[in-house]
Amino acid sequence: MEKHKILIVEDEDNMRFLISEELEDEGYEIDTAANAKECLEKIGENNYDLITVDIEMPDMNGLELAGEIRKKSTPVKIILLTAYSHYKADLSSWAADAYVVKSSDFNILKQEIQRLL
Amino acid sequence: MSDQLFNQLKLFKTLLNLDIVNSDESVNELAEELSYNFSSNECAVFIFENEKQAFRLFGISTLDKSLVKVLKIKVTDIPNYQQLKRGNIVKIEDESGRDAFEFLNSPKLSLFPVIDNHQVVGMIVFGYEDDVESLNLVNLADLLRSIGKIVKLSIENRLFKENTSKLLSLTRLHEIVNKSRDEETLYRESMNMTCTMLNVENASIWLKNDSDELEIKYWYGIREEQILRKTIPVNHGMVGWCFDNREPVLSISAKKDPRAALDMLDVDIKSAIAAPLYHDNDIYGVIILINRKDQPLYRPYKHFDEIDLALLEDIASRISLGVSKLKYVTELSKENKKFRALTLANERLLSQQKEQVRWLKNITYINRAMRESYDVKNIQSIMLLGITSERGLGFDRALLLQKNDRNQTLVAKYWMGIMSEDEMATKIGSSTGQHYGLGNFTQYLREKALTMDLDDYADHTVRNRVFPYKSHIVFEKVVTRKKIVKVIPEIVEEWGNEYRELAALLGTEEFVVVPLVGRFETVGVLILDNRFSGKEISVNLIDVLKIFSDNAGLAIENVQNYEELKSKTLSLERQTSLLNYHKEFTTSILESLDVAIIVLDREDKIREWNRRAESVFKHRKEEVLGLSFDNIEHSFEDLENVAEKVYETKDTIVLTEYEMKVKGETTFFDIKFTPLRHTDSDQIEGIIIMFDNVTQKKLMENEIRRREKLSTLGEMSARVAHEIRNPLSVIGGFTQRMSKSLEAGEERRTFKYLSIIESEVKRLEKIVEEILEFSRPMKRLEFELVNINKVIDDLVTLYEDKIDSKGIELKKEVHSLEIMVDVSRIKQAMINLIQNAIDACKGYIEIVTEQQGEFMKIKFLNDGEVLDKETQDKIFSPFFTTKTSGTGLGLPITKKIIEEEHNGSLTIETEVRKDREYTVFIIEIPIKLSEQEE
Repeated sequence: MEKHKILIVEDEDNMRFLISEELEDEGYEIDTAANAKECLEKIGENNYDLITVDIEMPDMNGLELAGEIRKKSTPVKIILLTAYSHYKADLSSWAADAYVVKSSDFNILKQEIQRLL
Repeated sequence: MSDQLFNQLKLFKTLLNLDIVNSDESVNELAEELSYNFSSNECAVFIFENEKQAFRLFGISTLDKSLVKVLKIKVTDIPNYQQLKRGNIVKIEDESGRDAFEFLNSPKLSLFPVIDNHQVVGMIVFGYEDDVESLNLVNLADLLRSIGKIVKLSIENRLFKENTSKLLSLTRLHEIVNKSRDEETLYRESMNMTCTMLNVENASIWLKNDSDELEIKYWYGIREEQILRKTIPVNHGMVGWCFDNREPVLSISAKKDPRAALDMLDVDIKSAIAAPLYHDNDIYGVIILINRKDQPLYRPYKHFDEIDLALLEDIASRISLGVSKLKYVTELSKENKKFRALTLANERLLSQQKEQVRWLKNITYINRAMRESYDVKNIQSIMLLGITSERGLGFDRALLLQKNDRNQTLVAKYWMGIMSEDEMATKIGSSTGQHYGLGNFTQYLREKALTMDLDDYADHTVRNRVFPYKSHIVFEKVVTRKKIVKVIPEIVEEWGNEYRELAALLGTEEFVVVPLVGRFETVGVLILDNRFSGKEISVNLIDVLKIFSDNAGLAIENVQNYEELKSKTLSLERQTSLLNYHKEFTTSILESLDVAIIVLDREDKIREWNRRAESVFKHRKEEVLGLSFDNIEHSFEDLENVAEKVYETKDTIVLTEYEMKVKGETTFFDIKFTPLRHTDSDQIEGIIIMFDNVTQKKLMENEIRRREKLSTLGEMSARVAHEIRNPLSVIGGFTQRMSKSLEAGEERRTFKYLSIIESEVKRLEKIVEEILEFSRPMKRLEFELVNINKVIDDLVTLYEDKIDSKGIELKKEVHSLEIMVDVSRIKQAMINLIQNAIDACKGYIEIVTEQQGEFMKIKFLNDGEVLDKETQDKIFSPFFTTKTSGTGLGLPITKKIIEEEHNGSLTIETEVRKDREYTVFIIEIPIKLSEQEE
């Protein structure tokens, strides 16, 4: 079976590195983007199965980014991954398939990815 | 010779037994017999197809029959065809002209024409071996000619039989046409019947629609997706031509016939016939049949022919006749219905007239009762009773609105009648003729009105609801134009909110609004409805209401005029002295004002002290009149000084949120001192002092400020938590990974994780440091006199490398000036601004100092992207950052140092130079220390 492809959108270098290490261990093929612009460029060229999106980013809010990804009408799954939990109340968070609060415990994120793929 | 005769007789006998009419096989048998009787090797029988100018093989004596009905030989391929045509035998004895007859094996061939009525109709071919001398066929000419004719006649007979059966089935069509009760069945079934009868591949019926086009309505043997256009113009193509000319049309080779544009169907067309559907002068449409189906028996052509066309024309006219009959039947039944409806309407009209007469009589009773009354409420009671009573106009409910001329409004007052479904049920339950037993209706209304209290009918849902009638869609018409308006559900839906509002209030969308018209103008309005009984409000009833509307209005107006006259007389008596009235008026204003008012005269003696002043200052008017302020309370002393100033400035003085102790309680007032001028001489005669107690407002403001602080604190805590969560998650995550990588002995990986953890811990430390820096109370500052020039130079040197490596151009215009600051703090503040400029700029930074009076102004300009207004507003809030790294505390700390510690100001501005925008941070600090710092 082919590996699932995941794109991680995260502006903080260390956090991005941590998430990709954790998910690579799970056997996924990982690609990363440091901001929304890079993410939008990359989804134009690749076929991802899932994208994790950080909400607080300098160039574009992650909620907005999730909407932009949806506009491209690819069937990709989106997980909002953020340090804040209050964005969950935001209507536009429904553009994503799941909402995970960042912590050092990656099990919740892994479970959600398994559920969606 | 006798032998030959015998053979011929035998041949005839065989021929008589052959059934060529019903079987193609028998032609093969014929060929076999001929071959045998004429001692030939092989024999082939051909039929001439005139349209194709070719001979078709129809029977053969050889074993292989596969070419029968398939093979055809064009006349141009036959050698000496002209000879053959003239009735001569053509012999082929060498290779020339042999090509067309390849399928025969014999070396010598004799072609014998079959001629009928001077026309070639067929050909019989005999084949012989080389060594056999060919027969002299001339002697047998008559015989063969007869045989040929028999074959030809047999085939004609076939067509004749086919046509006969078609004609017979017309009877069945007749039945369909007669039995059909609706057009659809008629069209559909007769079309299907026609198709079976004529062996048709597909058919369709195109009827004229309302927009004068031909539209496909029924079809046979066509799938819906094969219909390319559902409608065509009435003159389009073959169908259109047929419709337009009312003539049947036969088209055999679709490609050659210009009328055959059947582009609305996606079907192959070999031949088609169409006939108009019309009767007398009415044309309904066209029926078109396309392609004849393949059949097992041979026929000389496969396309439709004139007989088919004639048949179709006949069928079409039968269908049309049926349709026209059906249409007449429908028309007749419609007329019948109309007639019945007319009879009913007449009956209804009669009963309505009877009812109207009854209503008119009832109105006379109501009017009489109203006329005999001199009290408005009494009249209103009689009116409402009369309208809602079964014996009166029998409405379910009547709502009375009074007109208020001053505001130009209508005010809802009384609502009488049935107010709920329950009441309706009770009413039906009890005898409906309740009122009739009471004899004279006028008498009844009068007595009932006297014993009841109209205020019991002041329904709380509508009581005192106010409707401005000017420009109200309903009331304007009713009040000013004195029209009765009947509202029905359709109107409510179509016309906007004002209708809807009324309908919602009444709970029904059908009601009538009636003006009560006096001598000159409308005095009130009634809204009547039948919400619960659902009775219709008829036009006749509205006519009756018109009469009522005038009578009721006049009655009310009369009484109102009478009452007005009475009350005017009374009020005149009361106002005997206008002077008294004025004085009373002024005093009452003064006394009822919500502010405390004290008036002082030129000698500063208290002349006026209103009720509010009594309650605020807890002194009665009698106690203080004639006294001066210092006689009353200490807190008034300062006010006396202010009063003096008013005499000097001759203008109003206002003190806001002035704190006073009133009987030991702290109270805040907005106080206004106004000079009291003499009416004629403009001389100041005294001072009016107004006290507005704003203590509550002041306390409220304090509370709001306190809450704002708390919410800022909450927001800050959330930001701090987020700032910390990220590094913590990273540290936690990598710690866990590290234990795994250690186990696996991956040293390099472990070290990488360690270095990340280290950097994140450093980040945490920095965050904590900055938070402490931001939130710690002001420490003891050490001010000294320093040259600002030197301070900035030191800082620039510190950042020189960074500026060079990024290729930034730095312009510095710093004047030498000594200012009094805490050097280490001011350096910290400027470091933040320089660092910020380096991060944000694209390649240009400017630092400029300038002395402005007692202030030192320092500008930090950069050419980075200019922030929008919203972002600029937030830029000094803690933890706000546009950068990906950093805590967002740099600028807030700078602001704190400049504004709180040095009494200066820090602002952000956008500067435009030559159409380019720049971001500028501006520091302004006092050159000398303000008193506070010393």
